[in-house]
Amino acid sequence: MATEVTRKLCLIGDFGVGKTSLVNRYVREVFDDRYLTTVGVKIDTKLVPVGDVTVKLVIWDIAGTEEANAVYRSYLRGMAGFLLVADGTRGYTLENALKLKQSITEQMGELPWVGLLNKADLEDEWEVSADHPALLENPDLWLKTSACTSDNVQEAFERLASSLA
Amino acid sequence: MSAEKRFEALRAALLDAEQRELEAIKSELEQLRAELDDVRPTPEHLAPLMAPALDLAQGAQREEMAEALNAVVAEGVKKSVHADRESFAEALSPAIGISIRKAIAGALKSFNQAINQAVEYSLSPKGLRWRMEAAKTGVPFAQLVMRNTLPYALEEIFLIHNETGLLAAHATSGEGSKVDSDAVSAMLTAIQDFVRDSFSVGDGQLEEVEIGGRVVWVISGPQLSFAVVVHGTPPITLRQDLEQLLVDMHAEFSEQVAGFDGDREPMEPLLEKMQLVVADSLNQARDEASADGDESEPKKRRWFGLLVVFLGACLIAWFAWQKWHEIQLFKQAREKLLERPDVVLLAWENSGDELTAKGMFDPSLGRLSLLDYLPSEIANQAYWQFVPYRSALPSAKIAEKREDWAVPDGVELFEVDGWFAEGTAPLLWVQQMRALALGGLLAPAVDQVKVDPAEIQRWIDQRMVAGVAGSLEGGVLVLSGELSRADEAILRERLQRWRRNQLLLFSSVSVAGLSREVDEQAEQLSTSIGEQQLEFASGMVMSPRGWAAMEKLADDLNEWFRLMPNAKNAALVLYYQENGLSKRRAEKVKELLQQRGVPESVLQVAAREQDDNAIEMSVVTLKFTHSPLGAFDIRL
Repeated sequence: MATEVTRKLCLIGDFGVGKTSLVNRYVREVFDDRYLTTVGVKIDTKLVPVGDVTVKLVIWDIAGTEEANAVYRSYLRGMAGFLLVADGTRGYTLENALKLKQSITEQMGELPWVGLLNKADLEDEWEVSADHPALLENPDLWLKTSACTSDNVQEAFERLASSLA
Repeated sequence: MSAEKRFEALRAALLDAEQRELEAIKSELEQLRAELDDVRPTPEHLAPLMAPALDLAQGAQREEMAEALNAVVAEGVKKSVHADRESFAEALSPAIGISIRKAIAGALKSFNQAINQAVEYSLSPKGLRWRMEAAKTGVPFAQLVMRNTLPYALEEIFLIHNETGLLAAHATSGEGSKVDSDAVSAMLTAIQDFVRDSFSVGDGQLEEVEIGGRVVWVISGPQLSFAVVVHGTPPITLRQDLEQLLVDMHAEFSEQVAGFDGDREPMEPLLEKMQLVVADSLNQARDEASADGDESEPKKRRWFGLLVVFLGACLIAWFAWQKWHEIQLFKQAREKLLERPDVVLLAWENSGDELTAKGMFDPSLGRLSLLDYLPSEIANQAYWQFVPYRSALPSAKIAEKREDWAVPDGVELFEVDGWFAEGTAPLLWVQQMRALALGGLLAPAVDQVKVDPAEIQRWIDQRMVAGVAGSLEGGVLVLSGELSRADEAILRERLQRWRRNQLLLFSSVSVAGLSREVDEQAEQLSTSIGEQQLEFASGMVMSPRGWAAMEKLADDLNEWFRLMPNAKNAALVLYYQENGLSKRRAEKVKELLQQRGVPESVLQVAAREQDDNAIEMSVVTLKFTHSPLGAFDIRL
């Protein structure tokens, strides 16, 4: 077994759910509450030790979308897993994320994934309730994260990395 | 019916069907045996089995199968192409069309680059040096241009997995980007995807990105792609070499390529090949740099080359100047010929070094020689053919007369019932023309020809007698100054000749400004002599005062005649009264004056008027008369 493997990981979700903020928090340990929309895709890498192996995550932070068009799908091509991100304060972003996941699964088959309900620091304002069927269906695959406070951010990426090693 | 028959009938009834079935099985068995005994299976048997058999073999014995079918398939393809080339081409066209398009596009791009570089360097000093080198070595110039446009630096090669965008291998010269190569790989893939999907270019792709002095080539293969970072101007063959390398890597390392999942360890052999390419280009660049940095022989060669180029340029410039000068001479000669009224130019061709001129000229109006128009070294190369003719042009006649009369440039000739000249001319030419006319020869009228007054004045000054100045004022020759009696005749003769020969046109001469210095002395003497009385003491004896006066009178008269040798009507009259003594005394004075050199012709003894009471008896009265002085006898 090689000591280092490289894996492509994509962040998938609606506009403004905090994908880029999550990557910035994880890779650079910074947070900026100004919203700068991502155009196209932004690439970052991060080395994650998983047991004896070091997984180099090539993180594709793809611009938010409601549905997977051709360009979007081409960005996803060859990914090893993905983080499905929704904004807890906006319920519809979870619905859109689930649609995206369904579309991806239909086209690419089952891939490792971890769901993130972001903006946990604003949990008082959440529209998404804990008894949402999707959360209840796979409770172990969903994490409440906050790029602002860094809650569960590292956990989310490393959990996915461990499944990609 | 016997029991046996009944038994047979019963058996037939019970077993007939089985018996027939048994017979059929036997027959089939026999047939199968026969088929099994036959060593050559029939197509009918094998046909249904081929597809499943190949399918099985592809899974379990893929390599053996490929090896076994290799020669057969190759031969089959050959025969198929031979039998139906068109159908084969149609079948393959979707697959190879893309490759052909890419190859043609690549070739055209390379060709364009080669042309650009060749044009850029063709006329530069460096380009000339390469041309000389190409001529010397026989290597095509374009190839030398490409070789010498190096050095370049192949800085990095990214081997990117097309499917995932993951970096499969990364070879670098050590001078590559400092950013994460995995991120670069992924980003290039993202850009590639974005370009392809956004612009719907189908099979097209991003092939080249230029960033400052760097160019990033994207060379795509079926599963892997190269992203090559090159600094400087790479040779056109480099991309082709890399394309070939990518193809070779796909072929040679197909298993590693197909199985790539982000683990780079199996890709090490591919990385080695990429490193070799980078190292080769690095060595090549260093060789170029060391060749350029050698200060001894190459520098001498460079200077020698520059010297040769300089001399060559000088030689070319000299030849160009010679040619230009020759053209200018031809042009000037043509213009001069065209100005001549006696010459008709029919053909004038200047091809290369040879001039051909054909035409006609009027020998009566002048001579025509090629050497008058072109230097001898050029004239010798010219073909010159002019036939004589008689010109009827008025301009030719005028030109002829101008030459005959040597008409100066400022004078125009006209022929209207005779020849007339107008303009401004030197006095000498005007005098010559007047002389011709006076001599009865044909000459133009020069009345309307102006002469510079200063020239006329100089002419007069040079010819005027000493002490006298002359000027022409409104047709009158005005003389001034002191004119001696001796020069008077000379001046008179000159003025007569000038007028007679029309050397100078004047209607009269003014002598108001003339004077004679010598006449003033003579006038004083004349006044001194004047009228006086010579006193006698008694008889014929003069008193001492009378004697002294006589002596002085003699001296004054002699001086006067010396001053005025040509004086006319001069007379000294000695008066006497009616008595005899007085007359004798007068004659005595005459004698004494004669003795003292006074010419006898001027001495007169004359009787005094009776009513003159002032005359004393003891004296001889005398009176000196002469024509008025200062009058000039200049008759024209």
